[in-house]
Amino acid sequence: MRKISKKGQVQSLAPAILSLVFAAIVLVFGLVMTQELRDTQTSGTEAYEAANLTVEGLGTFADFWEIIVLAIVITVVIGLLLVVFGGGRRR
Amino acid sequence: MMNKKGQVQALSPAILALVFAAIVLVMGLVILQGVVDTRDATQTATVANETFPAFTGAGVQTLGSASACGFGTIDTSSFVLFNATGDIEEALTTDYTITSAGVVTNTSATYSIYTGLVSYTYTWGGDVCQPGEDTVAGLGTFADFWEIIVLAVVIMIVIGLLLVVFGGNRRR
Repeated sequence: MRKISKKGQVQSLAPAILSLVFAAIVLVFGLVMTQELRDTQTSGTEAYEAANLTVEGLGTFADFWEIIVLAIVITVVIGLLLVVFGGGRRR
Repeated sequence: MMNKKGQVQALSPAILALVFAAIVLVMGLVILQGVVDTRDATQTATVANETFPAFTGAGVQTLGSASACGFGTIDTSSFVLFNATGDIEEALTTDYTITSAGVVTNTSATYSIYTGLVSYTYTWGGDVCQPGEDTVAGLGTFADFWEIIVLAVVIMIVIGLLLVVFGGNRRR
């Protein structure tokens, strides 16, 4: 059975936040670049419309950061509590 | 095997990990906000025949675009205000004044109670701005959960210590 350690639970927090921040920066940079590419096209052309849909579609990712953050917090907190209250069976 | 020394010594790495995570989060938010702010006022948009509400009370109205994400300025030289049917153009200074922030002030009683039509150009942050702001706000919600994470760490340490002391030989 996989071992749950206190050290592992708390120390997974920093890499998780690092990953989140990195993903967020990549997302924003990606959106900026996609928008700049879109603006090189003439409005109304197929390329412009497709690029515009891409910008809008990628942009919807921004609506889900809160739920991702919540999932990470739940993972860490529940994991920590399981270490203590999970009993000897889990250790 | 659980021992008192192990329980207390878990505190220091836990706090270190928390502090490191907090620094990474704050630095990330600062960098991200900086990146998003570079987009402010970089895109130009044109508004044509937008309904302009009637002046009421103080005789001041703010254009809807002034609340656009990453709003920069209104090009006041491009701004025109017509009456509701679009056949009479109201005169700048005589009938109204406008600032680059999008605040239109009525200077004449003639058309003050009627809605109008406005056309103008303005700068804003573009389609990237709002997702960028949402990303900063979304990551920022992590800050709401530090207390519960700290509480979980403290519970882990305290309960762990109590279990070591009172848990009996079975747990030692």
